[in-house]
Amino acid sequence: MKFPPTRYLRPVVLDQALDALNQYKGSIKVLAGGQSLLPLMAMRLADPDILLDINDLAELQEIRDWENCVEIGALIRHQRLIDDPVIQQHAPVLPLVARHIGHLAIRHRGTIGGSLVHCDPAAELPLAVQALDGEMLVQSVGQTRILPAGKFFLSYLMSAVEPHEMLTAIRIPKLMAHTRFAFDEVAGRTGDFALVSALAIVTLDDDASIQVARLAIGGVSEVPFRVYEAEQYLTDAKLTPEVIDGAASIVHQAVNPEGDLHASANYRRHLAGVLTSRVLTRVGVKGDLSWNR
Amino acid sequence: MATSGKQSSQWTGRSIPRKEDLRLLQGQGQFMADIATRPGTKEAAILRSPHAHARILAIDVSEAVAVKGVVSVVTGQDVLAAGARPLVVAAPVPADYYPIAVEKVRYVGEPVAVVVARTRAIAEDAAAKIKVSYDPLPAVLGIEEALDPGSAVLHDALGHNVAVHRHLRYGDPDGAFKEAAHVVTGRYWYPKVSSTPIETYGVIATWEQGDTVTIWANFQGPFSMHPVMARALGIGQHQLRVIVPPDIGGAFGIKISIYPYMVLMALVAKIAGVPVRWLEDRLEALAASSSGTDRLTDLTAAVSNVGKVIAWRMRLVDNVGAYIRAPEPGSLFRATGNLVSGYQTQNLDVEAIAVMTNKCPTGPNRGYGVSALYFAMERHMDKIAALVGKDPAEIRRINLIPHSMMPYRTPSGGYYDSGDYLATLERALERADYDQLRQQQQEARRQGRLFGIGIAVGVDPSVSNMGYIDIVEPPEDRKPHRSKSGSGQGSHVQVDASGGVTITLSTCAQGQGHETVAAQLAADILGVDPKDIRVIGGMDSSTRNWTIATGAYSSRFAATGAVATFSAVQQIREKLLDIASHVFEADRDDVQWVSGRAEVKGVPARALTLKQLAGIAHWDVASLPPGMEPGLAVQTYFTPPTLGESVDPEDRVNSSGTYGFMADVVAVEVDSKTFAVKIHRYATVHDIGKVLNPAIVEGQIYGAALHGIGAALLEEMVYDDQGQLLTGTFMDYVVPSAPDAPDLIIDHMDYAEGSSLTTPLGAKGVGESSTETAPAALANAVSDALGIDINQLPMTPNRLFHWFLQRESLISQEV
Amino acid sequence: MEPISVVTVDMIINGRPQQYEVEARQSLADFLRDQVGILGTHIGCEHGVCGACTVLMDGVPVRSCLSLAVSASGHEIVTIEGVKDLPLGQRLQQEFLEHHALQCGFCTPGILTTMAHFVAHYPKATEEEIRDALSGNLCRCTGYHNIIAAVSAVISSRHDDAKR
Ligand SMILES: Cc1cc2nc3c(=O)[nH]c(=O)nc-3n(C[C@H](O)[C@H](O)[C@H](O)COP(=O)(O)OP(=O)(O)OC[C@H]3O[C@@H](n4cnc5c(N)ncnc54)[C@H](O)[C@@H]3O)c2cc1C
Ligand code: FES
Ligand code: FES
Repeated sequence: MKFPPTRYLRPVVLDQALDALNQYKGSIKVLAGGQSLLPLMAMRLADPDILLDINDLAELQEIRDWENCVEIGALIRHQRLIDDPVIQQHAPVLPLVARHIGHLAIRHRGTIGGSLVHCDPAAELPLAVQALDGEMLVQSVGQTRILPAGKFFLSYLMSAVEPHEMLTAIRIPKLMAHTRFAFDEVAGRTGDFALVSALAIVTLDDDASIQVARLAIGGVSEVPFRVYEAEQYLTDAKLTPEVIDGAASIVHQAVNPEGDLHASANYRRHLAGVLTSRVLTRVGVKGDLSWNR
Repeated sequence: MATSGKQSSQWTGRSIPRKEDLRLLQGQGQFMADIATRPGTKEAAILRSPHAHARILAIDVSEAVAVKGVVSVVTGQDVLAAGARPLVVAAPVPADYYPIAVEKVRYVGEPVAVVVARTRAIAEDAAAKIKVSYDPLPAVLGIEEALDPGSAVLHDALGHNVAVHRHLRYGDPDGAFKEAAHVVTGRYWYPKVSSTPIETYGVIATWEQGDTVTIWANFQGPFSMHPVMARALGIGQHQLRVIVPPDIGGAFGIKISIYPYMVLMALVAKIAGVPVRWLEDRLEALAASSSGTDRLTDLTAAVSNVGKVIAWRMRLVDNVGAYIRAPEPGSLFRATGNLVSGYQTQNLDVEAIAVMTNKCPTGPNRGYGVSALYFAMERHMDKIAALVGKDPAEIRRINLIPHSMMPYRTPSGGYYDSGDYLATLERALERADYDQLRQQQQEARRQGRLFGIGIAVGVDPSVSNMGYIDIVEPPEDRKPHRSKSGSGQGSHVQVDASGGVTITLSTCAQGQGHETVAAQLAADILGVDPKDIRVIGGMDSSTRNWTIATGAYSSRFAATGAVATFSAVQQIREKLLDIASHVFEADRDDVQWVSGRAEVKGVPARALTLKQLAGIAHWDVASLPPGMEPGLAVQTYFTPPTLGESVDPEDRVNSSGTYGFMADVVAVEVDSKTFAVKIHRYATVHDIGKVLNPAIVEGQIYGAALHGIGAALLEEMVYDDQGQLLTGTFMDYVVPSAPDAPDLIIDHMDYAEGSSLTTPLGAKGVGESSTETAPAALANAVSDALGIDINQLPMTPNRLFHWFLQRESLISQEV
Repeated sequence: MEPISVVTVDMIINGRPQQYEVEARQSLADFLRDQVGILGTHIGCEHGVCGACTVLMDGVPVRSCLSLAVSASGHEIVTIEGVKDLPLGQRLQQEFLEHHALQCGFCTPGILTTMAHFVAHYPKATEEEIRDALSGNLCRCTGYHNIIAAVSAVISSRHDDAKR
C-alpha cells in the first residue's frame, strides 16, 4: 500500500496556493491533515498528480472572535477545537463533537477544513456545522464565495468546493443565551465513524418553552440531515417526555437511510429515533453543555 | 504465586520481568521487516484477483515490464515453467493448490502476478499496469451452496466442492438414542474470523549456487511444512534453509499459512535471478492471508430424563475456502480427541465435511477447530438445561467428568491425564458470585433491563499430535508405514569457557515469552540469575536441532520446548557434577549442586563454581574423567509420551498432548435501545497444571479471552453475493480496542505436584484457552438477556436489534 | 513555484538534525525505516487504524503512515528510539516491563509514543480516559488490561510525586 507517484508543492502564503490551484486545475489536490486523503491514496483510490500541502499557510490557522461569530481557519486541527479557549467559549458545540472524531493521533493531524470538504455523511464536524448554520469561506484567485451549510454539503463525499478553490475559513454563529445542546452517537468502536449520530441545540424561553430548536442527524443520508419538521414541531413546545417521543417519531419517519455492512437501513432508522430522544432528554435536563451568557 | 523457599524453584513459577521486553521497549526488536537484506535485494508486489471465480484468458505484462525500476514480472505460467509443483494437500482429492493462480482464480485476492522492482512503490505502480482478461464464472460462497451438486464447481478435476466427507462412530450412539428420554437438536453457525496479528507476513528469498535457497520468514512452524515447501520447489530438504527472525509480531496460527508465499517468493527469486523481499500489506492480509473456517454445526443430543447427555450426533461442515491448504482440513479434526469436551458421553456419531468455496483459503487461527465446536455444544447445553428445567450450572455439573474418573479416555481417543472439572466450574461460579448475579438479574428484569448470565466450560487441547490429520482418510485407505505421531521439540544448551550459559531455542516464539521461561527453568537448575543466561529465539533450519513438529502453535511450549530445555540443562548439570567428582576424587553421590557450585557434601569449602568447571571442560581435557568428551553442550528433544500413537483403525486418536480445562462465567447487559452488549463481569478459572510464570499465563488468558470476545461481538469476514470481500480494511474488519476490553477475574486451580502424567514439568498449554469458551459464554449470556435463542455470531447490535424485533413480533402474533 | 517529485527535507529526529532527499510520495513511516534506518517504528496497516506507526511530531502523536516525509520537513520527530529521552519515557517503559504490558511487542512502539504524550498532558486521566486514548492503538496479544495498568501506574505515580 504505497502512495502513487505524485509531485509536491508547499506554499507559504495563501495567494501562492490559490495560484497553484488555478494553474494546475484538475490535476492538483489540497493536502491538509491527510487523514482522509492519504488512506485513499494508499489504497490507490485517489491518484493526484500534484499535492498542494497547505500546512504552512498561517492564514488558515487563525481563530478570530468576531461579534456574532467565531471564524475558524480551515487548517485548525480537531484537537485544537477541543483545547482552544476561544472555541470552548464561543463555539462549544465543536469541542463536544470533536472529541468523538477518531483517535488522539487522528485528531492531532486532521483539520476542520479537511473534514468539511471530505464531507463524510457520518462525520461529526459537518453535522455540527449543518446544525449550527455555519458559513464556509471558499476562495479562489480573486474571488471569495461565502456558502451556507445548506449549499456547501452537496452529496456523499461531495462538497461545493470546486477544484480551483480552497476552503479557507468557517464561521460559526455564536449561540443565543439560554441555549442548551447535546450530542450522541452510536459507533462500532470508540473512534470509528458513527453509524448514526444526533445533535440537538435548543434555545429556551423564560418559561422553558422552546424558542428555537435545531436537530441534525448524521449517518442517515448523503449529507448531515437537518430535521426541519421536528424542529418546527419542537418550537414553542416544552421538552416533556411526550414531546420528546413525538420528535423522535418524526425523525424516525423522516429519515431514509441506506443499509450497509455495519448497519441495516432499519437499524439506522431505529437509532435515529433512539438518539433523538436521548439528546432531547439530556437537553431537557441540562444539556451536555449549556450557554447562558 | 508465592516465591518458593526451595532453591530448586527460586525462579520458576514467578512473574519475573521478561527478557524480551528490554529490546522491545526500546524499539530494538528484530522483526521480519527489520532483517537486513543482501545488497541487490529487490521488492515484490503481488497483483491479486478482483474476481471470486474466473478463468484467466490472458495476462499482458508488457507495460508493467517497461516501468523504470522493474526487474521482472512473474505469472502463474512462469512459475509452472520454472518447475513448480503443487503444494501437498492433506485431503486425498484432485484439487491442486499452487501459491499463485494458474488458469483460474478462485477467490478475491488470489495472487495472479508478482512484480519485482527496485522499491515496493514501483512494484505497485507496475502491478497496476498489468492487463489480465478474465472470463468470470459464478461464485460459490455459502456452505449449503457448496454442498448443492447443482452449484458451480471450483476444481473441475474433482467435479464437486466437497473436499472431505468422513463418518466417525464411537460407542453405540444408535442404542443410546433409542433409550433417550429427550432428543435435543440445534443448528449453529460460527463465523469466518481472522486473528489478525498486527505484524503482517514477510518473506525474503535468496538462492545460493543455483540449487540452495535461504528463506527468511516470520513463519511460526510447524516444520512439517518444510518438506511440503521443498517438494513444491523441487529440491531436497537439505537445500532449503528457513530462518525465522527472533521476534514475530503475533501469529495466532495465521503465520503457519505463510508457507505458500515462502514457496512463491523462492520461485520468483529464482525466475528473476535476484534476492526478493515481500512484505505483505494489511489489505493483502485481510483478503488472502488466512482466516478460519465458517462452520455449520448440526447437533443432536440424546438426553436422559435427569438431563444427562448419553450420546451426541454431530454434523460438522467447515468451509475451507478456495483450496485445501495444509494443515486444513485440520479444523475439522484437530479436536478429535476432545469432541466430547469435558462431558462424560461415550457414544458419539460424527459426520465431518469440508467444502470448498470462493472465499479466502483457511488455516489455523486461535481456537482452531475448537471455538466453533464449543460454541455449538455450550449453546446446546443451555437448551438441554431449559428443556429439563435445570439451571445452566446444574446441567454442567450433571454431565462433567468427575475427578474420580481421571485419567479419562474419551470415546474418540483423547487421553485426559488429570483435571478437576467440577471444582473448576464451582470456583468460577464462586469467583463470579453467580448467586448474586442471578439476584441482580431479577432486579434488573424488574426494571425492564436486559441482563443475562452465561456459562461455558471446555477442555482446552494443546500440543497437537502430528498424526491426527491421518483421520482425513478412511482406515482402509491409509498407507502402511506412513502414519504419523508425536509432537517433538528440540532445544540446545551450551556453557562457554567462562561459564556463560546460552540456550538456543527453535520455537519461533511470537510474544509468549519463551526466552524468559527458558531462562527461569535453567536458572533454577544451575543456580544462576536468569539475567545471566542468554536465550536465542527464532529458528534456523540449517543450524538448529528441530523436528517436523517444531514451532510455536497449539500452545505447545510449556509442555514441549520448556521440557526439552529443562532436560538439556539438567544434563549439563550432570556433566558438571561428573567433572567435579573426578576433580575432587569424591564419590559421585557425594557431590551436589548448591547455589551455582558443585560441592562435596558436608565440606562446603571443597567446591568448584560453574565458571571453574566450565573452564575445565573447555581448557583442560586432562582434568576430565577418562572418556568424557570435552566441551559443554547438550541437545535434547522431547515429545509428550501420550502422543506415541497414531490414528487407530477405529478412528481414535489422542489428538493433543495435554488437555487443560476452563470455566467461564459472564454477565452482560444489553442496551435495550441500541442493543450494544456491555460485559458486566467476566470470571474465568483455569486448570492448566503447573504455572511456570503467572504473569505470562495471565497475559495469555487475557489475550485469548479478547480473541473470543471479538469473535462473539465484532469480528467476521463478510463477502457479498459476488464474492467481494466487504471487510477488506481495518476500518471494516473490526477488532476489539481498549474501550471494548473487559477486566477479567482470573483464577487457577491449585496444582498437585505430579498430577500430570503427560509432562514432567506439570504444565499444560494455555495459549488458546478462553478463545474457545468466550464466544459460547457470551452467546449464552446474551441469549439469556434477550430471551432469544442465539445460534450465530457475531452478535453485533445491528443483528441483535433484528433478532429481538423478530422475537417481539412472534410474541405479539402468539397473543 | 514548480511542483517537484524529489524533495530535500530537513528535520530533527530524536534530537538530531538530519537532511535527506526523499520522493514526494514517501510516507514518514517508510522514510524513517528505509532511509533513516531506524526500525522501531512499525507498520501494521498503512491506513491509520492500528496505530503501530505512531510517532510524535512537534510533541504530538501522529500516524507516520498517514504523513508524508516531505510534510514532516521542518519539524521535530520523536520515535520509539527517542522515548527514553522524554520526560516520562523511561518511567513508562519501566511500568510496561513490570506490568507485562507487551507480548509480541509489535504494537508497543506506537503505544509508548502515544502514551508518552498522553501521560504528560493528562496527568489526572481516569481509567476510562486512558482507554479512550488507547483506542487508536490495536493490540492483538495483551487484551489491553496490563497496558492500562502500566499507564495508570505512571499517572498515579505522578500524583504521588505531586503530593511530595
Ligand atoms: C482511523 C481514522 C478514524 C477516523 N475517524 C473519524 C471519525 O470518527 N469522525 C470523523 O469525522 N472523521 C474521522 N476520520 C477522518 C478525519 O477526521 C480526517 O481528518 C478528516 O476527515 C479530513 O481532514 P484532513 O485535514 O485530514 O483532510 P485531508 O485528508 O487532507 O483532505 C481530505 C479532502 O479534503 C480536501 N481538502 C482538505 N482541506 C481542504 C481545504 N482547505 N480546501 C479545499 N479542499 C481541502 C482534500 O483535497 C481531500 O480531498 C478518521 C480518520 C482515520 C484515519
Ligand atoms: S500503520 Fe499507521 S496506523 Fe497502522
Ligand atoms: S503485544 Fe502483540 S500486538 Fe500488542
